[in-house]
Amino acid sequence: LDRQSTLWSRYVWRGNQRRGFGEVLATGYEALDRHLAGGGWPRGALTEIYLDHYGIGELSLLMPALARLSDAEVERKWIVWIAPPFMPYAPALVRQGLRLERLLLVHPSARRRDAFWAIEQALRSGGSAAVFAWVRYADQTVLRRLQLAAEERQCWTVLFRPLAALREGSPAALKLALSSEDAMTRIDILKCRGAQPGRLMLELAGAERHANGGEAEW
Amino acid sequence: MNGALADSTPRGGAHDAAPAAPAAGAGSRPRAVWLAAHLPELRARAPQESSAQLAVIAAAALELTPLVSPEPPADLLLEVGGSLKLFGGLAAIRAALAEKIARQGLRFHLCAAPTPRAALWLARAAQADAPDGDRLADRLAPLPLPVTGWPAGILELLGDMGVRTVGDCLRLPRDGFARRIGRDCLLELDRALGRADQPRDAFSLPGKLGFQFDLPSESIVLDSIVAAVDVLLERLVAALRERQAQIAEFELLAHHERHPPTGSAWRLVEPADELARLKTLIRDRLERIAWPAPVVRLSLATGELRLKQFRAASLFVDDPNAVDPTVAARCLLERLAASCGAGGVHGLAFAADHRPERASRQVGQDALAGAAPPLPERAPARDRPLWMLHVPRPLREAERRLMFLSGPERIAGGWWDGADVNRDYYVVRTTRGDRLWIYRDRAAPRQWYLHGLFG
Repeated sequence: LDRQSTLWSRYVWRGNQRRGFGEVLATGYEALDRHLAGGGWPRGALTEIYLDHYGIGELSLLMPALARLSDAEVERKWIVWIAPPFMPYAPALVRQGLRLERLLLVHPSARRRDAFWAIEQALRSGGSAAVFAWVRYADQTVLRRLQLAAEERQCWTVLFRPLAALREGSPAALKLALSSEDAMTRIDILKCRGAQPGRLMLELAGAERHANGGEAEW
Repeated sequence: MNGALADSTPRGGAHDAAPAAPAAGAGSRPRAVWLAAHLPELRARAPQESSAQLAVIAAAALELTPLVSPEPPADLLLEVGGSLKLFGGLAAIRAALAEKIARQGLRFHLCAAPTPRAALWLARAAQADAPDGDRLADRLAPLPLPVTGWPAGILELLGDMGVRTVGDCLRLPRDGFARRIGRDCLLELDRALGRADQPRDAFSLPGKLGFQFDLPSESIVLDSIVAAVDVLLERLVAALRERQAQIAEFELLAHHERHPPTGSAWRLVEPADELARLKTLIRDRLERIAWPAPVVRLSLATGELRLKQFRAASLFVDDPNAVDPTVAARCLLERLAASCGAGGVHGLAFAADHRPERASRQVGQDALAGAAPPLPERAPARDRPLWMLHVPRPLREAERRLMFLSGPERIAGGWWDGADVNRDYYVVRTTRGDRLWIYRDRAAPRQWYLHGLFG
């Protein structure tokens, strides 16, 4: 990718000519955009993010693109989070620019198929702009169905899964593994349809920027 | 000579010289316009049948004005003076009403007049409109007396006196008329001419519906329960269609032998009367129910019925590609809420409260379905973790090997509403590399807590 298009990808959503990838969402991190086919998150495809513990910038990685998506006034679609492991925190989301009224949090029962039912509904309805789901194990058939639905609906779909689930294999178009290393977030691109696997380190927006917390104003 | 007519001054011909009803505050109130619909075919039907059909039309007519009053067996009255502007004139309202009646496959005659009686009588006689009150008496005069719907005995008595039209009545002396024919008929005449006010009961829909179905044989198999539910839903939808109504909430009870019934309740984002949509919503939930025992009977109870909201096109169509995204988004909310239960689906709102627990709160379905709230006036000033624990969790001894990245940030206050906090917050990194938001309670025993994660 040339510099020009990388630059543009920060501001606009572009259709991509490459087959099988479709529209992308600029990630908001130039270094990451360079590694991804089309220069951003694949919109109409399944993305899987593998990680073993939370709090390593896994949401910060997605927030710039999600915030921009939530601010698109064209259609009033939901941003659906299914079975999140903790409560998302409104002040932090607002600070990242997310339009809260677009956010729909779904807590299905603990049964696995209920979570997948909810994911599939969210994808197929045509009423979601993005679907994030926290799931553990999934069989290939289910994942393939989700991949197809995401493609058909042009819905940005991200599954968060434990590293152990990597053994299962999956038809996702993009697979990343996240870990923490030297106070940075390490991103291993395990599979990216239309681009090479790779690795990069990102300093994700976080608290350590202001190392001197100091007194609060209260 | 008394009551409502005390201030009219009868002399000679009892009615012709009487002034029109005193117009208190004339000009300030919109002029009353009554539209009457006469449906001659309903006269021939059984009373129950004709009043049911009248109720259907009345319910549909409520869309045009809140003041709808059925006159069994064969007439309907609407006060449309207040709706003229909204619908763009009498002709438009008349056309809308005509369409609603035609949908029932009935013949009709519509007539507008300044008083309900006049409109009714003119409609029954298939006359043209009497748009203003000045010459109302002249318009009513030629009408044959049967249009009044007075009891047959009275009509016979008047006929014997040679009184055959409304005009003939109006020429009789009031005192004599009241004495010989009765006050009620005199009052009717005065009301027709606008000399006396006529209070009317507005029409309203019946409240709730309930249905029961005994399963052919007790069953715990989903398919046979779903089949039974479908029977109930078909009955429900037929009843709703008859009443031109929709439901916004309903409850399904599955009864068992020797077991308390299993209940599930639904609250819909948009009122419903579509069979396919209700079936889908119920099936989504039934698939998740673990029945404690075989089901012997199902009962379905609705909440208050709502008037059907007519739309240009159906919102809930089966082909999702044809649906506009906003509608698709509402349908999704409804389906998820119906299957996950009320607490299982929610949104998030930001509150300008410095106590971390208060700054973020869950908002329910209703708020989500409504209009977008304004953006917060004051964006949060500080970096906060994207993940929070529902309840802060005490840090275990083994978790205390932490690298402090920032802090302390003192957050204190809230004594005014009893939920006071007094804490020192820190951003820390664990040995695994995750960033956490922890605090130390400043009150004894000065315990450490984990509150959030920088996701």
